[in-house]
Amino acid sequence: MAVVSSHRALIDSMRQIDILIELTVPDNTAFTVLRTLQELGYPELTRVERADHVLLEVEDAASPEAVARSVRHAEILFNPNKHRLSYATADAPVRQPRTWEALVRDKEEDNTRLVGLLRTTFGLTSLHALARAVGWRLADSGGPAGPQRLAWACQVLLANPVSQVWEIRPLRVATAVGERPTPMENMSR
Amino acid sequence: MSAARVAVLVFPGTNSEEETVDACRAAGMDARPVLWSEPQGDLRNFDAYVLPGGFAHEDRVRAGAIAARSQSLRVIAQEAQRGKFVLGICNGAQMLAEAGLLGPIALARNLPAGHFQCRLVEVELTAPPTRCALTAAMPAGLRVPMAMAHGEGRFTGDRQTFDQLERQGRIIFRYVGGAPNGSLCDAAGVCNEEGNILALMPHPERVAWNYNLAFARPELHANPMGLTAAHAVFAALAAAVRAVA
Repeated sequence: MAVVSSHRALIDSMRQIDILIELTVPDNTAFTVLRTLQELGYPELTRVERADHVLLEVEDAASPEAVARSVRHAEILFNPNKHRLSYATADAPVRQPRTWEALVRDKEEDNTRLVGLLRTTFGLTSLHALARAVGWRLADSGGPAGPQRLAWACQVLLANPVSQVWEIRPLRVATAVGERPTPMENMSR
Repeated sequence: MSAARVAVLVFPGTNSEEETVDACRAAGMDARPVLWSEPQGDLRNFDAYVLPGGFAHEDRVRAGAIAARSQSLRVIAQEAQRGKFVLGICNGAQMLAEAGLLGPIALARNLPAGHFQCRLVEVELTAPPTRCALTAAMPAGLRVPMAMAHGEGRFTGDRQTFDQLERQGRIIFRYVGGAPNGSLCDAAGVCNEEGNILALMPHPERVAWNYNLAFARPELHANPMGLTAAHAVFAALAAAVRAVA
């Protein structure tokens, strides 16, 4: 019982921060996905956007802004020459107009070494655990694609059901950190 | 009898087609590289297909995912249904898994390493040779050196699937001494239920000649162009095609 309550206390003292890392240079993978999904049955698709998500579990007292700034200095995750970084917390409002995202994660991953590196070399001492995922957003001439389209895209290409899981969720408002270079026109737009 | 016609598929990013073609030719097959963009109808004229290693379409989305959804793979899947032989090596194995030609099996990121691993490995033919047409000409228990070079080569799936693979004898090759990449059941090569498609993660073609292995076994310098035990993979493919001709 003591173990359970101490575990509960640990969870209660943690907060989750979703770090989004996106390319500011043309995203060739997004372009390939655009063409492939068009060929697989979504010819009206006009735009694909991709973001690497680093889902951090940190001590509750940690400032999300400070955590995101630390990640921005971690060259193993972020390259200022080609990336922009933003973060969203679990209590951030949902972005309006509502935009949906498919979040794809590996069923099995081992980020022990990455957590260790971030805690030691990059000074993110409040970090407890992390998970990685890829977020996909689609749009056609009617605007952002809805959950059904995203689910279809996950089934036909974006996720492998044997080794990955996916969820469709509304995007939350994310706060940009650091200089935000003007994104080059994405090839898939 | 004319030599078996073998197509070695080349996608943008494939990088092992030359040595794969050479290894097939050294086994007496009439092999040639076939570009992914060539007319798909021509693909049907081959007796067998080899999907070589590399990083097709830069492994965008997942390793082999884009190539697996190409017209070329659809044609090869149709020809395999007619009984033709398909050998996928490394990235080619990933394409076969992504295309669903092995059943509910995936080739996922190496664990616990979590990164690309490149090393000489030894694999053993642990299934009865005749379980897979592509190994029918090999002696039981053959141990072969191969070159492992992948970041997403961990055979994975649910426990039931792998129990079934074991029961059906479809885990054809296993890593000797345990899988460095975390593959379930130490699987290095898995075939489909019918036994005419073989997905092999380590590369036999990269150590098919003595000069490839001489760095580790200096005595092989005496006969650099001699074929190694790894070449048996291609000799067995040639024998399989001959057997049905």
